[in-house]
Amino acid sequence: MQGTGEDGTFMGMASASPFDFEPERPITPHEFAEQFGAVSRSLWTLAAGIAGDASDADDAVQEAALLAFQRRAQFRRGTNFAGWLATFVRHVVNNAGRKRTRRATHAVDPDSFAGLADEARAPIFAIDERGALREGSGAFDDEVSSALSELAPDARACLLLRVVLEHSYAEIAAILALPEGTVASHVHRARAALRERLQHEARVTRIR
Amino acid sequence: MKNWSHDDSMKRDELDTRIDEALQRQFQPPEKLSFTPRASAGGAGFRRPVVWAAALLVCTAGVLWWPSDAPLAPGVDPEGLAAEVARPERPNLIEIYEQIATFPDPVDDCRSGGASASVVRSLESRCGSSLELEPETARLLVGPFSSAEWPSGTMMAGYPDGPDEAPVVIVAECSDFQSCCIDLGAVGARGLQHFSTEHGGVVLTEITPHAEPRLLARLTARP
Repeated sequence: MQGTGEDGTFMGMASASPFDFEPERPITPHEFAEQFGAVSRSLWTLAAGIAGDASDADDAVQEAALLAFQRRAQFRRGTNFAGWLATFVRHVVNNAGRKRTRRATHAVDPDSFAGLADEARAPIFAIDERGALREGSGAFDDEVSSALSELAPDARACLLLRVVLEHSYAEIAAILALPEGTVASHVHRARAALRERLQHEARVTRIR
Repeated sequence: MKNWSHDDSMKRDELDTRIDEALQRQFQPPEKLSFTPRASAGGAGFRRPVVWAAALLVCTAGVLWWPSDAPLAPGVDPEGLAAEVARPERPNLIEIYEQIATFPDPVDDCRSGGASASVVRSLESRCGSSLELEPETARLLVGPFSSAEWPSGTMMAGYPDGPDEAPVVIVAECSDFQSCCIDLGAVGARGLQHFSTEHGGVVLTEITPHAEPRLLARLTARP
């Protein structure tokens, strides 16, 4: 895990120290690729968090990297490379989300809903009727994924960066350009929301 | 009757652990993603259906500027880049104005003072420039906000005529990004105007219902 400097930048990937070039010289393609490699897992997790889905994260990060690469002359050495790239990831994921929303507004074969309705009725419970955690990960994972999708994108991203990559609040704040306190609040509230949702499902199950 | 609150507290830690494990299973990133522009062509969900001709020119010029003796990282193919140009969608300034201007009751942290510090920090990080806000001006600003319409822009609501009057919206953006990707047209259809000024690598845009900018002259940025 990378450390974070006093200014919130990632040490070892955003600072100028690893590259002894003139300050005004634009970042080279080689440097770009090297620094991208250092933060790619964070960017992937950010993309999955904003989208609420891991399936398109690879493509989103690749496209964001391409956009950033084309504009690499904008990047100033010594500033936050991860945070700079993150703005492109956000843009790409949000654009893709808007397009999916637009594409969704067209006629659909009514027969295709039948299977979905059956699927929706099938109970998937994370906690059994006695309140004990259910064995097996499949149903639980589905329920966590469903609960996660109800969180705000920034909250999802903060939670995933914290839980999956074990980033510190300072590191997450540097990536998302948010105050550390906001990041901590997002993580705390997201955890509470997931916990509440999963416990609520258990209560509903028991009432049924 | 089962005492759920008692069970909840007993199982909270265990539940948190299970949630963390589920997230780690479902959202585990690849060990390392290499930067391979050509490979990104397979991402149908993120492809641009239309390539904007003018933007293509700008970005192609950037590729051609690439020094021929620059060391190439594995997988980086400059010729492939020209064919892979993709543009972010241009933000809708009308939606941005309405989102920011109608934002309900900003929390205390968003009110003036906090706004200036956050904005300055953000612009220093992204654009390499620092915005200067006089204390009197900072008191008129609320924010910063972000919008999915313009994720990389740093936005503030400004109340030059008092808190009960219609606000203006200030967007700060790195000038390189602004020049290639932002469409500043068409806001007039809703009776809005926009005005822009550039200072040291930062473009400040004021979206306003007024005929003249109210805050731009009071904001400056230095490299």
